[in-house]
Amino acid sequence: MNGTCVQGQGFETASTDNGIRFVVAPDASVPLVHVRLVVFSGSAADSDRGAGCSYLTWRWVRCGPEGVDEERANAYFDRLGARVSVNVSSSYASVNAVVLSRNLEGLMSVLGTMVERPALRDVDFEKLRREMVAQVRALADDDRALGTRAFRRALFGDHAYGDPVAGTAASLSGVTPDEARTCHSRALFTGNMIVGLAGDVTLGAAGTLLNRYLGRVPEGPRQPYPVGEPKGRTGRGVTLVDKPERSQSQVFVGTLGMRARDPDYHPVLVANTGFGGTFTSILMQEVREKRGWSYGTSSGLGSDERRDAWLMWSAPSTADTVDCVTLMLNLYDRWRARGLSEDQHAFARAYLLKSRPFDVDTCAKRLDLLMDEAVRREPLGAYLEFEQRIESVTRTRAQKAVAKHLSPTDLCVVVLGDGALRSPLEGIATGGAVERFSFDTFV
Amino acid sequence: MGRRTSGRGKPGASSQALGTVHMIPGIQAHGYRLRNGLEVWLLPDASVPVVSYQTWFRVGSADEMRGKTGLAHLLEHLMFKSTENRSQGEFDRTVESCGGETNAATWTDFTFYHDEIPYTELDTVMALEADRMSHLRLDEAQVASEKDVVANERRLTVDNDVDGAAREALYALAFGAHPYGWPTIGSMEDIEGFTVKDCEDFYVRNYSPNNAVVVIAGRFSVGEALRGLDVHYGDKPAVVHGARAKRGAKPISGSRAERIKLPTHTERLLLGYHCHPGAHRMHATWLVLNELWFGGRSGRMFRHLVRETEAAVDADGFVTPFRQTGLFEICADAREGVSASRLLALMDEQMEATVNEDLDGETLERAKHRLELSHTVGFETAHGRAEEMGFMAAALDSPHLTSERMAQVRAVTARDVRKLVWDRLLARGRAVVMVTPS
Repeated sequence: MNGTCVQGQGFETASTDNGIRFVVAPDASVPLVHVRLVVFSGSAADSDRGAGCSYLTWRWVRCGPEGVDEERANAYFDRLGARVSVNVSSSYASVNAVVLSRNLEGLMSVLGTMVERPALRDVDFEKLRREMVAQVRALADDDRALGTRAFRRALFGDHAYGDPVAGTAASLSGVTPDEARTCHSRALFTGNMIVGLAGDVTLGAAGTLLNRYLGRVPEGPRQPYPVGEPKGRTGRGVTLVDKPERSQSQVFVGTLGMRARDPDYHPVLVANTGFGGTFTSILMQEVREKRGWSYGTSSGLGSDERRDAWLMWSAPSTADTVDCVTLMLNLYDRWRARGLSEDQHAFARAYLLKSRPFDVDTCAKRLDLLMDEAVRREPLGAYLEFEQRIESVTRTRAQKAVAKHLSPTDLCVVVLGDGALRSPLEGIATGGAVERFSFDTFV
Repeated sequence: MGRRTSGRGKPGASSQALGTVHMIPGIQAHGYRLRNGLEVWLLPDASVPVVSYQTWFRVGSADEMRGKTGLAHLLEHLMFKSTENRSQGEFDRTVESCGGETNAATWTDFTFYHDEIPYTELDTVMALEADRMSHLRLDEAQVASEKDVVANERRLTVDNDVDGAAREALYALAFGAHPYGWPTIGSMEDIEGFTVKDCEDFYVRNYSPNNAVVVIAGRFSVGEALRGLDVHYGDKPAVVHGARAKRGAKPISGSRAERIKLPTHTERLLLGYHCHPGAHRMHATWLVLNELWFGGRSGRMFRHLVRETEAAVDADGFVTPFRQTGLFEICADAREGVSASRLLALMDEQMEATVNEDLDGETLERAKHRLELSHTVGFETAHGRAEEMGFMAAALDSPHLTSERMAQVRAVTARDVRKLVWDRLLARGRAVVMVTPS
């Protein structure tokens, strides 16, 4: 191993001989090891090559290492008692695995080659692309997924954050095998990746395996982030995603949020927790408990390299939809203008502090926090300062942060539901115009 | 029907030990029964900073009557309202003020409540759970509001969800008049018709210490937990319950088929075969078969339908771990232009091939390794360990299965699998639901 071996609370980090940084979160209580091979290039770079290109590329990589077909690769992983999957977000792509610890070396031998030198056969590409197109089309049956796609398109417009990570049937059809090969080769450099292992494994054993099986990754720097800040949209725009035969709507109301590394992130997180982050939050009490309008409702704050969304969601019956949207908007206005009460603020802050053990109670969760930090270019172990950051948030600071970052007027309202809702929703939109799309526009 | 009685004997510190179950290496569960019949399983682990506190009641939708479907589930929602000692919302506020999370679930044979809390809050949550086990108080407004919430849950998971609607049809077809044939969430008509009295009666009949299992997993000492349980539950009276109804499902003769129209672009096929109860040792063979067919991307059925023939978007199987005869569910979503009938023909070919071709030892071992992995992953969290024990103890009356199931899986042979497919799939009837676009 090269570099300094750093021992943090519950994790250790070092570098391989060729310069790949790696982290180990040891825990021998269960005979498993979790592995994350994370590359700092994700779907935000897809705008030039077609939405879904990164996801298609890494699923193609998952088909197996050079010289091995997909069936043999799958059989090999199964024989080891290993599960291997791929995850892509706007800022990274990762190959994730969990394996019975006695078979870790067997897993790494194939996983390493698969990432370094994937087979990338044309025949697999075409087959996989057809499968992914079919999967995207099947999303037409998933109202919440469709509504989320429509919301992100409405909020982010042509920015890469408005594109679905998995692409659309049309965008996937336009990706070529060469583009996907380039997507892989331009991402895989020693400085553009990090490896994490958690579970029944030591730093020394991990270093030996990574030197052995990732030693041919080319040296190179971390890639620059490919897109700038999204602009969002102005005014209160209302979009109706028209889907027939619905007795229930999916409602999304939101606006631009903030960067994950913004100093105001934690103050807004506290405020959001009190507004829509728990069962006793304002949104849950008003929408579900008092009125019974939706089985679930919540608000959440995205976190990414650029400003992601702040979003409220609920699922009222068609008959309650307009009243529910109006209520959500009024609650937002009041919360944004006045913030939480002293009691609500204290409750939200205490909840975040006391519930923290659930974010770190397994080695796999700690590993994921560390990987997120690496993606966000934060020092590894920053998650250990979470309590300190939350404790320092006063009610005034939280309220000011919300008022500063969340717009009072630039809001996107997206309703997926019955077409007859168009007319009653017009009273909510700036200028009274409701954009209408057929639901299959988004697949 | 049940009625409340005084406890037998003086409730106190003494409890009967039920033994220790070695769930996986390093994780043990210690069982006890309090004098009032409350069954307790303790899974201490000093290495985690949390506790999962779970209360499992031996009642589910299979214990309802036709015309009152969904009552067990509605009551589950109402259990978060008020008690004689705590006002509406106090339960949630108390758990969340500790930094905890609380939720619940209902299925055919059980209702369970879980609280995930920092380890310092064990006594707080024990007091809350003990209180609502016997002091629930309901009013008209609470029941009316929660009926609206449940109606919206039904719209979300069944009425506006193709998979949910199709599965509801499959269970109705496979089980007919048997209680497993009606949906746990209930029909909309039944949900709208419930009264406060319906809920109170169901609560009195079914919620008592001797019809419950408490499981605690995480950081605590066994002695501390037993003392707390004695303080909070020791004076609760046992209730005389009738034995749980055991009505065998009427075997499916021939093929029960139904074609339903739903708002979707593509066709869909669901198959249901009666399978052994969850506690039966043959359940392990069903699990292996399901893994051989649908485990990952190399499962035989998945590979053939999704990758080789490209007839389906997805293909999946599930073995229900029911207390009585269960269901082996198979579901496949067709690609555009492919009919559900075509999917059925492809599946039938693979079933025949499973019987007629040799199943090599390595393929069988791979399936078992996948099951071992899933089983071990389930034990990573305190919640996962407690849920495994709670389900086995409460729904199946078989806590020892948490340690024996994997041994049963390892003992399954290729002959067992072929015989199962022949005896229970090819030689018996099945329920077939074909979904076509409306």
